Amino acid sequence: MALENPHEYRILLIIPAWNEERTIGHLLQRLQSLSIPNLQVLVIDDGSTDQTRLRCQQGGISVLTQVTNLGYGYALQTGYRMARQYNFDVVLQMDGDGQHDPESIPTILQPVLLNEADVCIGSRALSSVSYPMPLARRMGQRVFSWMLKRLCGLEIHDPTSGFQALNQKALRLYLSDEFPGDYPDTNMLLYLNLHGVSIKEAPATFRINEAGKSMHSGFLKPLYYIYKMSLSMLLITLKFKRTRKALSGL
Amino acid sequence: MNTELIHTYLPTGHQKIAAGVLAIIAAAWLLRLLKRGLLREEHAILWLLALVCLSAAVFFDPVLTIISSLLGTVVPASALLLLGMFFLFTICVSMTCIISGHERQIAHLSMELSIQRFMLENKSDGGESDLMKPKD
Repeated sequence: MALENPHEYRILLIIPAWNEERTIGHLLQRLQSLSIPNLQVLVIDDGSTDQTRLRCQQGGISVLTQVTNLGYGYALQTGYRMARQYNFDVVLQMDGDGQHDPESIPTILQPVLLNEADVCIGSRALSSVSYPMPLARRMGQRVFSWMLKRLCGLEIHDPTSGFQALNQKALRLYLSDEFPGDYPDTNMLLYLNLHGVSIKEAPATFRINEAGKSMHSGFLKPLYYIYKMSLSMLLITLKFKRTRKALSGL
Repeated sequence: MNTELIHTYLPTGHQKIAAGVLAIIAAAWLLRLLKRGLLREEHAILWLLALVCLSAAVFFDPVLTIISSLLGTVVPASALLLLGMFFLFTICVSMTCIISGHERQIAHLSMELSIQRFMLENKSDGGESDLMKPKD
């Protein structure tokens, strides 16, 4: 799929990666086969203890290594800071574990480049290619999707997708202290929407995690995720209402 | 509340002396930590407040009687225990808030340091990476 007006924008693709030596090389090869003008790739190596950095260097890709492992959210935020520093117009983010299919990048980028939306989320729910997900995760996704709709009226079928494109308006908000260090998901979509950012979904192909490991795996992590996400969404809503009330009194 | 019952169980002289010795040791330790710069004044305030309030409750019977009456405890030692637990809880929450603030500060510093290191690495390689090329 050819992008419209790609030459007008500088696009930064951020790939946070932690110990992804087995998948990052293959992912970078697939990315290099894409022909998107002005697309630059930056891998954020979140303090990996394996050869992730070396694989990136061998692939000729810029890699920024964090001084210590800070987590997925902070790795993304480091990428956002780089995007701001070097005046990129559009930021694209995808996982380094090979789950997100690079072929879907043009579909996700298009709405942002055409100013149809400030943020476009790559959604596996809208894709014609099925993605097998454990029942518990599917139910969790539906619950958070429902919560998002109840709190701000935004209907997103895949609110936990980390495959996104965003413009500078959304980037400014993602650089705020509100951005969590661990799980920036549905809560950030709520935050963006409440602050007037338009969000759209586009179909994207997801592949099974080649390493077979997820940051939501295990028993305690999903429970913590549910707690964190629910509380975060509630606090974002309360803070926004308080701010709006304070401003309306002025 | 039966204050006569409370008066029966007020601290004895022996207990007050023991409490006094412990309070002096605790105060001396806190002051030593403050003097050596191992404890900052703003973090010591709750500990000092706890020490003063608990000491006042132990040494002044009317204070302990009032606190026991308010809390509804029969034995004043229970009131002291509840008061002590309240202070510990407050100190824990306060420290947790401080840790949360520090976590964010450390993350920000780490991100900035990582970015600076990246820029330095690219400079020492003798050229600029494509990332650093300004917009045409």
